Amino acid sequence: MLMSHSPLDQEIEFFNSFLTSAINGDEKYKAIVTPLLEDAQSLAKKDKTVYQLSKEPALNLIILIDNLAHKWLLKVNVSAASDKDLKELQTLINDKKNYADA
Amino acid sequence: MLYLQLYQAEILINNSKKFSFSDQKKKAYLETLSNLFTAIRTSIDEGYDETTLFVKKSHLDFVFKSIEFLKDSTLNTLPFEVVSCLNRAMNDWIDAKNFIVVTSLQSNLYAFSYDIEYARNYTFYRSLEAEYQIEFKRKLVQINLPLALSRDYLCSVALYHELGHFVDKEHLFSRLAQAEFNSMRRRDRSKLYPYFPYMGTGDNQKKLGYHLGEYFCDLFAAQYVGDTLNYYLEYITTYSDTDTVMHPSTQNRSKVVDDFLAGRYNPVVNLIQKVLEQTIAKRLEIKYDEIDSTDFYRLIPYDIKNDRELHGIFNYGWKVWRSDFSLFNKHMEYDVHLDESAIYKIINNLMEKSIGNYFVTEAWEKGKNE
Repeated sequence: MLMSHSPLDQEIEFFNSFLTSAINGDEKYKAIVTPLLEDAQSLAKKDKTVYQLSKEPALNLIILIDNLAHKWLLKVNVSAASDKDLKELQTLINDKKNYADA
Repeated sequence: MLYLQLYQAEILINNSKKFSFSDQKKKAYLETLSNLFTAIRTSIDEGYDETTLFVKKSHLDFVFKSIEFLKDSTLNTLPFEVVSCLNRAMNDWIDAKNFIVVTSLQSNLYAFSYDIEYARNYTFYRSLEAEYQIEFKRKLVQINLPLALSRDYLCSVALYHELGHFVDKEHLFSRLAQAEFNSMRRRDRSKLYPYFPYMGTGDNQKKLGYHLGEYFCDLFAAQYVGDTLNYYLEYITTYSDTDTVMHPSTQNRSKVVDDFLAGRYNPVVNLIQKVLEQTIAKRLEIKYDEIDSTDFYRLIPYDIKNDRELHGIFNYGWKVWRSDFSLFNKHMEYDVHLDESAIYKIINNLMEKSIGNYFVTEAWEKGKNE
């Protein structure tokens, strides 16, 4: 293999692309991103456990977002996140070098 | 380079029109794939940033991979016996209607695996829906067997472990176990350190995730094939006491399986059982029966009575392989002059026939009652 891309890397890269589209005003992607962030926030705030979220198809990604941006999730109103908030999230994600360690 | 990949994919898609399937699900999948390719081709433009390039490339990679899976599945060279046993085990844990399981023979001698890259991949499929409004109702999964060992039923026990990875990916048991591990009090977590020694002195989450997955898969397989996988593993790794990034030490793996089978307390088993109970209200349990028979020593297939004996045939085959071969002479009541090479072939042949007879009889009974 010339380049190694773990499944977790791939998940977060796709999520990154959703964020970019949402920041650029694509409502379709905002509608995908917002529920994911809401679930990740409920995990971060301990409103829900991983078991309560276990039926969610995006569970892996939700856990990953919490691991990568825990403090951000605790302070932002994700249901009405601004472009500035999403850009901050994107920076946090891109600053972490190895998602598989999350 | 994206255009290069695009035109390569176009050739494959055009060639795929010659594939012939008896299975309507595969036909429908190929049609959706063809529509996807058309949509990708229409959408391709110049001057993409790195992220968009990654997305488009990933979409095209999917087209390549899917065609590879479907092409291999048109060859009717696979032993249905092994695949049928695995599907029977799979149905205990996964809703099979969500998947199209295909099979492939590989040249690599150790190529026992499930290719599940696209079995559960939320962001990828969401990306297809958002970008092109295309949905794949069923996901492709490929079982790989080495061509040279495609009729080696003794080594096929490894596929039960690989099926475990598919089940794990579908339910995310090891991911949940990782979250559970990290939320434990230190006093409780310390009981697990012998099996995850790097977590006692450090915090290697990547290794933890991989190792939890491997322990789960070993236990998953042990439900159906007992400790037979341990024999195979201990041989190919020389019973190593060293772990790697992706695998715990063989010694630890064998201990976990042995404890599970004996019903002894084991903190790894406990952790995984807790996760299963909390998510799908199920537990790992022994799902095979020990077969007590002299049939193989008398060179006849065993008459399998139910699914528990079906999976138990693998344990039985290994028991005979590891036994004193003079038992063949004893039960045949004369010296059959069988060398080890002949006994190896006989055991595999009898396992195949026993399994084949079971499924043929089952199908016949079902047809009779309809």
